[in-house]
Amino acid sequence: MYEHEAIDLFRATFETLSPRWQLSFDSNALELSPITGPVVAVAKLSSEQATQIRTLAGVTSSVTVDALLFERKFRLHLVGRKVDGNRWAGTASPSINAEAVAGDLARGLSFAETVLSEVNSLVVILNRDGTIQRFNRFAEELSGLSEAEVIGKNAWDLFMSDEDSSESRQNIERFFLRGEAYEVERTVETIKGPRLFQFRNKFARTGDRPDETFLICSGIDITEERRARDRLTELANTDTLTGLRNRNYLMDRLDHLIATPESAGRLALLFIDLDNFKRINDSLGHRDGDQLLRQVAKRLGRVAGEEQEIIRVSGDEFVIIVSGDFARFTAQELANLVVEDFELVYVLRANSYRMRASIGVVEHVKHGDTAFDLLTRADLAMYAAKAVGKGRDISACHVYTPELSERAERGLEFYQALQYGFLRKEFALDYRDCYTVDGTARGLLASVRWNREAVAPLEGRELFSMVESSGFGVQLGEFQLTEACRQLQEWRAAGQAVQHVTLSVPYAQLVDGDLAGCVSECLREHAMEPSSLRLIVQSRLDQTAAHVLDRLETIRSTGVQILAALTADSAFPNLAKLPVDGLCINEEIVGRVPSEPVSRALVKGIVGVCSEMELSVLVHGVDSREQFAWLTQFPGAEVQGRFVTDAFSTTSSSM
Amino acid sequence: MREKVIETVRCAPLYEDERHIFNECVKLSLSQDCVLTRRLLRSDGASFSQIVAIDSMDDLSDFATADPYETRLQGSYDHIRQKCGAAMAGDRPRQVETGDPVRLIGELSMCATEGALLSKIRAIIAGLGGMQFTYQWIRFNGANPATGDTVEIRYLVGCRPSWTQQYIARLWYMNDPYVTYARTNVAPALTSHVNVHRVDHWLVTEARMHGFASGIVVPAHIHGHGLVGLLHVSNSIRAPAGEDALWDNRVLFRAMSSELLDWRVSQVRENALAKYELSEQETEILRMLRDGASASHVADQLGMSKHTVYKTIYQRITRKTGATRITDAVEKAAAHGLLD
Repeated sequence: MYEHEAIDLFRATFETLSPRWQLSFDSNALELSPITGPVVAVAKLSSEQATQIRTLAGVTSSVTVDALLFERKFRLHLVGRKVDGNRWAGTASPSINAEAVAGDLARGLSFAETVLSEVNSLVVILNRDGTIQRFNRFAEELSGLSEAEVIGKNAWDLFMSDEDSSESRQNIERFFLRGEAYEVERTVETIKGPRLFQFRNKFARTGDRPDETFLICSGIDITEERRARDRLTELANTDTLTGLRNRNYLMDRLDHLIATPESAGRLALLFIDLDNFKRINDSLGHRDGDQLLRQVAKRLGRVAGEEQEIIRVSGDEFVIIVSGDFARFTAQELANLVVEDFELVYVLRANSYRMRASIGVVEHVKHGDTAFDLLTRADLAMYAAKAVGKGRDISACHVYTPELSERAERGLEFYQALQYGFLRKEFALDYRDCYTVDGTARGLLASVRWNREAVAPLEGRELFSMVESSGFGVQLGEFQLTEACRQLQEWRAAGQAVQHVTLSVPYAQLVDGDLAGCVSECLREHAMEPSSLRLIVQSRLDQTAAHVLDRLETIRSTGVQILAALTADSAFPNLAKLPVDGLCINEEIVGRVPSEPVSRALVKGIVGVCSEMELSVLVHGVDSREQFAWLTQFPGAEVQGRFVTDAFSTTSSSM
Repeated sequence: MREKVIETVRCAPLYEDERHIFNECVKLSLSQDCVLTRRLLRSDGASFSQIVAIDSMDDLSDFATADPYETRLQGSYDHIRQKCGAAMAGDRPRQVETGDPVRLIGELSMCATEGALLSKIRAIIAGLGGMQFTYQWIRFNGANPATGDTVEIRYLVGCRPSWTQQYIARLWYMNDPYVTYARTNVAPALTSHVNVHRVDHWLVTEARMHGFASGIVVPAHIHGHGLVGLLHVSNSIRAPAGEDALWDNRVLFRAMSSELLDWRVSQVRENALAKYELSEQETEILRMLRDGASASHVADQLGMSKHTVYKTIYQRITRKTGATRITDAVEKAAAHGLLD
């Protein structure tokens, strides 16, 4: 009676036994309406009831509430879910009608099933044995099989390679036991061929017994993504010109290799630098240069064989990684093979080119050294090899020894010591007399000496080249000039007649040291006429930039004399073009006269040309009587050296 | 004033490291606001500090690669790189100060750290037609800057950091015509006027290769201190336009140079006060001694016996200052500005 009344009441009000319900987040009024149409009834819920409904999420579920409707108490089964940000809705049935409740649930379920079918990823549900329980539309399309065909069949047999499937079986067995979700990548055979899928697998339990646990595998196709990533990695690690690995790869690879303590003693590097590539490249044009590099890469590959990795580090530098037992010996052997291989010419369009390489070999000996350390050492060894091959046009290799690092350190130490040399004013000038061959004094030659504390003094060309390479050439030059001018002024004030002082100018001072400014300032400060100074400029003047020669000419025009130094290995300069007042023949050439005919002829020639052109000649290093006796044939020449000083100083009045 | 000292003490550096390289010692320290200080201690005791604001990783790598001891300091620089990276990723880019140069010059004395000074100076210089600057506090041994040897230089670096690295490594301060000028002059001068005899001085050429085309140098002195401030502002505009722009602001540059020197003096005094903990009375006694008073004068003034002055007061002062004799203590206190 009561039930009938209720059913009638529902039918009359909602035209159905399962009206729609909805609840908003800010009100506890449960609104009920026909399937379509406006709200026609409202049930007031307690806040606990409302909260219970609001716990519903996106998954369709049911909640039972007791509520007052039409001034009666009803037990309502609400089936529904959260439908948007602040509303929950679904269908409601009075408890008296089991059929309506079942219908509501079925609708919710079919919605979920539809979602499963239509979702745009692969979904397969398996039981513990791998027997397929569900197979969604995406899976059907991929496999070309319908769900009906595959249900009950084994997924691994159907879709996986033997290898993958056994691994997969074990995997799943393990996870079944623990019931944890996991991710895995698997290649799946599809009608489009094998594709790589990333699976997120989760266990779902439908009952209490273990065989009611299922595995939901949902996968997305990452084949293209992975392919793109692999391609990028490949690109980032490859030298496009030669196809070899590049520097980026080398650093990663070394970091990886030396990470383990076992790598010490089982890893060695060859650092190969092509000595003359730059020159060939400049003369050939870059296209041919590229060709040549490709050939070098190919030939290195052939020599090194399959098991060693070759890397092009930069322009004309290559590295070969040698790993394995006795890596050091393998590397040395390989270095010798490479040197041998470079003996064979390279041929480009019927022209042959002889490439020369310098190879540094280094072994990874100590765990804890970084890739950077290793490469630095390989580089040092390579430079040592370069020094071996220099000037001999040969390829050479050199094995790293700690001594090479020490030598590099010494450069730094020397730089620092040199600083203190300047700070403590450890530099001093030595003066030696110059004479004409008949014994007339012709001024002084000043040379700088560095009196180092507790170390033998350093002087001459050795000092000059070390000072210049440490970057103190300009300062040394300025010291010489100031000191020489000061000394000359002092001597003259004391009544000693010194015609002039001759000094060697460091190359740096000549090129970018404002030599002219310094000279004129020194002369002005010490009240001296320009002819009191004679400057010897070193190095190849004809290769010096035009503006430097112009500056030299400016100095010369003030009256300061400029002499160009000739050494044994310098080419004979074009005297017509140079702004000089004379030449200076150094001790190396003079040391070979009068015994050696070629040097004799050379000196004769130089002096002859100079006297023709009215240039002065200063001959250094006249240390023996024979040398001097031979030189007396040149009345215009000036001489300086141990013998001359001893012979004339007693009779001289210059000091 | 007190607060300032406390402030500097409180800010622990982000990174600090000291390396001995043969006979020298290099100390690198990075402050919370990414200001890097590189202090080189020479074996003769002279020290050279560069204070550089690191705004980007490029600044840091320029500075590091220009370092003559780069191979030895690589590890330290790597750590600094990490710290800087973390500090920069975490928060805002460095605030760029702007504002009226006159007001900013007035605010210099309130800066707590050299980093804060740097950022203010940058704003001022930018507002006054400069592009690069250096400010150096040069301390000489002895009170007369015209004759003394350099014992300490601190450079606030507002130019390419590679310039100061090179400048110190190559001992260019020994040849710098502007430093020579600053020893004996206080008037601002255009750099081309300082160099009348050697317009093409190689150091000027080197500087030009770092973007110093036109420039003005503004020295500042404080009587009785062997301390000289030297502001060098430059721009890359060729003379005369570049020089005119700077010369027009010489009065402001002069004010700034003086303010910066004062800042340093008060900083030194604060530190010395905190270090020596001399009482008001002890300072007064040192002041009297400096002005020529004898022990009996001091005794009369304080109403105590000469014996007490010698045995108690002098001894206490020498102990606190770490001096061997009372005259040394007077000198030391004067050098730290405690008697001004």
